[in-house]
Amino acid sequence: MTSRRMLSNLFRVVLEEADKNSDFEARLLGVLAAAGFVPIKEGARLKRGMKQSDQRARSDASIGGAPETKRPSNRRPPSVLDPVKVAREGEEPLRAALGKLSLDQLHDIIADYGMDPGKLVMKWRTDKRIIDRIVEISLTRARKGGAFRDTTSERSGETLSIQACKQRLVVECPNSGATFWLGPNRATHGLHGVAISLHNHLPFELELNVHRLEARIDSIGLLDSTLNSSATIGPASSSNLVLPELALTDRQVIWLTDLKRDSVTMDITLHWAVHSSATNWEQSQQLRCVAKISTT
Amino acid sequence: MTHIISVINFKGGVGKTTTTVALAETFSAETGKRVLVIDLDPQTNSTLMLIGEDRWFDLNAKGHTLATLFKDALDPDNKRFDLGAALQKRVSDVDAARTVDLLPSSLDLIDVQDRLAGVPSGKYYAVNPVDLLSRAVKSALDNYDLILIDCPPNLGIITLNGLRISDGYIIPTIPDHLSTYGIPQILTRVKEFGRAIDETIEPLGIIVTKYQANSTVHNNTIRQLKQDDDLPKVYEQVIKQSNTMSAAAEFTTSKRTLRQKYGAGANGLASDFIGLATEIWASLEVEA
Repeated sequence: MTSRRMLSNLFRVVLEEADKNSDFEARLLGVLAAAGFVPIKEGARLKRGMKQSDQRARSDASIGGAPETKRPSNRRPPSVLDPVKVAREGEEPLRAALGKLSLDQLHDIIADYGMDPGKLVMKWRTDKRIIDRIVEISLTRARKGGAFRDTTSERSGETLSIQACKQRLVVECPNSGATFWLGPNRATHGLHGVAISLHNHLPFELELNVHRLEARIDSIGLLDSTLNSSATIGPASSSNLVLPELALTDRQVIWLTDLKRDSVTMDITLHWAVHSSATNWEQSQQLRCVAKISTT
Repeated sequence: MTHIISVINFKGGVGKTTTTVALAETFSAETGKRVLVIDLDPQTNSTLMLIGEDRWFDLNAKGHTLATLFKDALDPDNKRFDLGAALQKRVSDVDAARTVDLLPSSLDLIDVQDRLAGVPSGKYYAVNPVDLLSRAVKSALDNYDLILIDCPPNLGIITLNGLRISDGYIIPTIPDHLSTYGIPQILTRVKEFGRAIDETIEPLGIIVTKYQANSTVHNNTIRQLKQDDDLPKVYEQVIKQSNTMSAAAEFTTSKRTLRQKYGAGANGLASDFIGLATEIWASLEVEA
């Protein structure tokens, strides 16, 4: 066996062991580096000295499994966390995680995740302002496409935030049949027939309880009534709820009568509570409703 | 005078939507023009760029999109489309673009578009399926200097509704083989449609998008487009390929300047769109 062949065999055995055994490879590279044989410059062979877990992590982070491109030397350090991933757990965990970071680390996130195409945020020096921007963009990206997903195929609403649930419950006032009865029969004085349409775009059943109604006419507060009116709305379906009669005082009757109008436009604020198997929440919404005035 | 322009190409991915939105914002921010964007594409991308996903979801749930207009035609006894409620005012996130309004699209258009050919013609046979948009929006047209219609990548009934109200159309295209194949076909079909409705729908020009200066294919294709006398003119101002354009498509609730959104300087696209808008407006004024 020639010396050339011996050396070749020796190095092949060493290389095979280095390929199989990352600790051995790291020790080998350490010895070679100490002897000045390995250039300090990052290269393919030195990269092989990385722990396999590091290699996997970097490979996962690369796009589509493609080999990771070398990070330009003028780039900022990589982000210490993935804000969109944390945002999927909710706003609070994201704010908590961001709150622990330095201004530089926040800027790293902005740069690494392309959150500043206008080159504006990198000039900001207030942590809170930067965190607000990261939270806004991260939450949007985490929810991206949610409006287009088939919510009926979701088994439960546990993955939906309260905000997402609120957006998927649409309440409207179709202006049909609301009437102020102001006629001579005092027993019927009141606001009758305020109806609301409820559209549930969530994949689970909701029970909605309207517990308060405020009404303003010409910016003047007329009613602030407590009620207890409920409706159940099935998953991905609609329902109507006619609110019960709301009594009027004599003073309110006189005020409405003095308007001398056939109908009025009311700005009403409804307050309701929603209960479901997935989550519960409280909500208020302003609606506009036209009511007839009947004095007969 | 209101100029109504359809943005059309049968090829997808050539930049119809980004060109539509960027031009609308540029005309508004730089010249104060009152601009309406009509999103006829069921992919709703113009809508998402201008108002974001959450607001679209809310509008769609309430039926305040163009899908409702077309659905009404199929169920004329139960009309729900409300132009005032559907028209979204001042939608741009570019601070200076305060005069951009939007008529939003909806994914529901996908279900509707194939059934539109069978729209009931009504008691006096007055309902034509290509007139639906025209009838619905004609009262609002005079409120604008410019209306840009983002058309889907086909010549179906929904696109014809957009062309029906248009004075002309522009064709964004990547200057490569496949993206430019369909241009003669667009010209022929739109001309035929114009004859059928007895209107002239002018091919205003070809916009080169996603241009790469170092691409031989791109440069040769532009040369061929310019030399072809059967094609409309190719606007001198090209829109460069840029990562900024991809980033600009992400809706944000915070306001920014045109240059922050589309990129400033030689590598940015803001100056490209300003140049293009200037060129388009000059040609519109000449035509008028």
